[in-house]
Amino acid sequence: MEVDAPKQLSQPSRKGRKAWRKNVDVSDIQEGLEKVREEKILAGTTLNSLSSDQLFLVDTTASNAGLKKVGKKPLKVDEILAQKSAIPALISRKRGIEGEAAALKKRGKVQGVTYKELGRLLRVAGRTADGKTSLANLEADSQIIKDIYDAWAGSENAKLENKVEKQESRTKKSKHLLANANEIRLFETTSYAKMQDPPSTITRPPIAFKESRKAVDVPVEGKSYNPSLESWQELLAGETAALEKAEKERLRQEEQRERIERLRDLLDERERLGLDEVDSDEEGETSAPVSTVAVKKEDELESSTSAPPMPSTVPDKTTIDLTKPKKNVRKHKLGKYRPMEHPIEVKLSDELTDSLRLIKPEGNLAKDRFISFQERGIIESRVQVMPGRKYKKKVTEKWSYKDIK
Amino acid sequence: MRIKKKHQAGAAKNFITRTQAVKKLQLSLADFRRICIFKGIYPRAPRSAKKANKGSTAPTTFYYTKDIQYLLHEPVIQKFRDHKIFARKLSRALGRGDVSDAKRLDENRPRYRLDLIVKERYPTFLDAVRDLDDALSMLFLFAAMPASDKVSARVTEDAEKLCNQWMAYVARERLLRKVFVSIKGVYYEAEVKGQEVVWLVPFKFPQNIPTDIDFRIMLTFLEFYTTLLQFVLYRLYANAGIVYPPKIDAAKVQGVGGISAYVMEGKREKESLLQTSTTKKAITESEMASRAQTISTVLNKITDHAAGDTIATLADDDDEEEVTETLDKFTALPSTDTVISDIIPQPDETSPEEIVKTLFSPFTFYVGREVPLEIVEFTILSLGGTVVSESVLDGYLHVDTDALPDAEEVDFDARQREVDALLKKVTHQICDRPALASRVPGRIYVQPQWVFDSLNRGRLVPVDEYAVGATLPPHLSPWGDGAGYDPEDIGKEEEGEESEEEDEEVEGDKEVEGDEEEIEVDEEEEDEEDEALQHQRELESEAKGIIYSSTASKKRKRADKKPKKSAEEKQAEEEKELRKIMMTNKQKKLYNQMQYGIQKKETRRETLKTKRRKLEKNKQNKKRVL
Repeated sequence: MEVDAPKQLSQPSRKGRKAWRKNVDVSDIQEGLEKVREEKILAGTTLNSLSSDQLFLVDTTASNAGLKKVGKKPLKVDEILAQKSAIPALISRKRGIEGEAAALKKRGKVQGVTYKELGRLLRVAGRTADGKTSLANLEADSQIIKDIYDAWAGSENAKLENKVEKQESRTKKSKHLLANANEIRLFETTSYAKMQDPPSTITRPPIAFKESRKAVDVPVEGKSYNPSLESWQELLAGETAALEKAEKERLRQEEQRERIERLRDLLDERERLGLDEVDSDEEGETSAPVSTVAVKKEDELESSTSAPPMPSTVPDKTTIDLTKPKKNVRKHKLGKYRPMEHPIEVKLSDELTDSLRLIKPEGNLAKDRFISFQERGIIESRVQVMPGRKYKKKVTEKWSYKDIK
Repeated sequence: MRIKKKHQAGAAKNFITRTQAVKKLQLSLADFRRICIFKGIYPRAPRSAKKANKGSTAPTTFYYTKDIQYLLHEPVIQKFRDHKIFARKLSRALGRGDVSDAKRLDENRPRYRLDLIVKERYPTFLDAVRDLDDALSMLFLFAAMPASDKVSARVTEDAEKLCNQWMAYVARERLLRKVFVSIKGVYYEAEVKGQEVVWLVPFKFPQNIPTDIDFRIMLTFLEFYTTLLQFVLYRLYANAGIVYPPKIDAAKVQGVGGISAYVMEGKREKESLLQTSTTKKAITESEMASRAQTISTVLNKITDHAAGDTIATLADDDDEEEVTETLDKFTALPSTDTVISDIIPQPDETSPEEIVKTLFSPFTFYVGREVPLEIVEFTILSLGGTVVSESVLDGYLHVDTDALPDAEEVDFDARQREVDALLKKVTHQICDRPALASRVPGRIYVQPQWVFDSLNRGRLVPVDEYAVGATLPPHLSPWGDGAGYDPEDIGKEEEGEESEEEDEEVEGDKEVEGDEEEIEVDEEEEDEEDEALQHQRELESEAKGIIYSSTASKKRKRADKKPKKSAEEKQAEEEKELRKIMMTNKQKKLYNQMQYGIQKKETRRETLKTKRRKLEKNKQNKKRVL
């Protein structure tokens, strides 16, 4: 600690008004007290009361400053919060120490419910932004069935018996419809005829977008982790061709779009020119209908490819077997959209490895499964619609431009 | 006659749009999607969407009206509605701040079960087995997923548990037929109850969770398939005489996890079912562990001692003294340094499937820690082999004694002895490194692909091609490629052809053609023998005064065959042409497309065949030179 040079006291004499008690300068005493308080907060007691071996330490080991672990730097806020006083907080006389401990234990709970549980409850209730109720339930309940049983115990026989029974009951029904008291009740209380059997439509296979209706398509040989050269080349060629085709399609569409744009500009230009000739009174009535018709005609005349652009798709050639005739394969979209496209799954020559240790997986199986469901027509194809902005951005100049002179 | 109103009959009645269906069922759209997945109700395509949608051509999803009508009585839908009411009550309670009330409501919330739906959708057990592909692929996918805000840890845990139960069953019953390691993941095919079940398992790498797929739908499928797989597993286990939820060895779950932790316990006799000839050592710690009959012997031992860790160095199995009872399994070990083919069971006697089941039964595999254990272990166990894993042994020998819960004394010397004894039994080491620092004499070092190819071919493929550091032969798909080329078949085919041709000339000719895998040591001798025999015959015939030339006769034969075939072909072609004339334009197009595909396949097959022949010739020539 630095010690200042000795100096005169700021209160040289205690005579006169300045010598009154209230005017006595106690700042040095106050400073000392403050220092002691700080020491107590840090160490629990004053440093004077500690023995020297508690205060000092003879460092006999080598310095390992160079070996310092590079850890995550703590946040400033954590550092500040970590500076806790060594003096325990006051205990309320009412609760006592036991009560204090219980309160500590209870902390983090609301009415006996943990915050984690409360969060789940909020999600179940749909009181969160995402509102994933079903997921919240899945989280809570294990899907493992405790009281599992044999679902197909004697199913083969039972099924037959059931069928026979049902047929018999049906014939009975038609004969004496009102004979059975139970049946009377059934027919009285329901406004509709209760369905007995599943309809035949339910067993019809879904409408698939690919020929193979297998859940897991066996892959082509080129997708082996250690493929033969020919099979790999074939796969690569197939994927490249598909990519090229898609790219061509994309370029075609782009061109088409540009052309339409050009035509529109042209028409606007013509309209503007025509506007000079036509009288100002008729302008509003004539120009609008002419423009739309003209655009259409122009389009038809100019382009042989005026058909609506097809969505660009990369067909997964690798799983389609050309040899069989394509039966029941849906070409057009089902509902609003087509199934999602498979990402390209092929290793380039420098990525190929014949070691299982070095393999890097290709593609994403979660996506693969999802697309498979769509392709087999088990679920409808949808496109995630992100909410866009409602209004167009308007650009204005700040009024402060007037300030510049 | 009554005037027919529009949109009162036909497609308009048979089909219902999605919006109408949702309204009719009084469900939210999300719940409607879920019930459709549970019940197997798919979107449909009416022939004319305009007619089905009462004149509107807006793109919509249609369903069969009958299907939706049928859903009206579904008890699960009622549960959905109950849940909606519950959610409302819960929301109200939470809004008021009555958290404990909310908790009570949640405890009594309506829950539904899918067992009836499973029974309804799969009236027979075989139907359910047939649909396992989807279920397994889905569960294996989720088992490998990291827990995130989209997939909770509980979901992945459950999925993993069921997957392991499935693998334990397949391995125990030796049902695995094919395995294919692709760049996407590992494809497996098992034959369960006569049905081929194919599933895809992702590699054990952290997966990216895609953002553009709907996880609510995926989780709904998962929910249904979880239920399905549990019922199927119960039945399969029951049929195999095993207690269904198999016990899990807690110690092993900590150690390696996977199928090794599953205790397959017989219903009656509480003895090892996976290891037919294992006798257990009486050093049991707990009752469960004592009854534990696990998949691999090594792992078995480890259970008995609670988990551990170590490094089993490859070279230090020289100094073991006693061999414990457990380890006395294979009395007849193959003589260490001799050729392996001596101990290969000859597969000619029994059916190929039976051979595959016991293909690895005489072997013990030491799996290096660089090899993906879950793939190799599953395959080896399914073929009857025994697995010793380096990483598990590491754990066993290098127990962190401080970390043990109770102050249990670990006898490291005893453990070391056990491990040494175990390592003595190892016949093969699976290794995936470019080079090895040291080798243990008596072990065969192979790369993991050897295991897969052996399974796919149904016999032990020669190990020299799969040696450590060797360039591996391509890993071919067991399903064959698109062109249906199968190297095995061609080998046989050629053999057949050749023998046909040569039967008349040289009787008792035992030339081995084609198959590169079956090159035997004495082939050279045989070839020489052949030549000698032929030469003798020629001499004999010359002495008789006939000019004998095998090549000439062959040529003649081939020349004979050709016109014959072409005549038949001509006739067939003519017939085809005639038929083609009768076809409609559409049919013709389809037919041409078909023919194109067939042609393509055929040419590919041919090129591969010729290539193969060339290779064979080169090989034989080389041999002769040598």
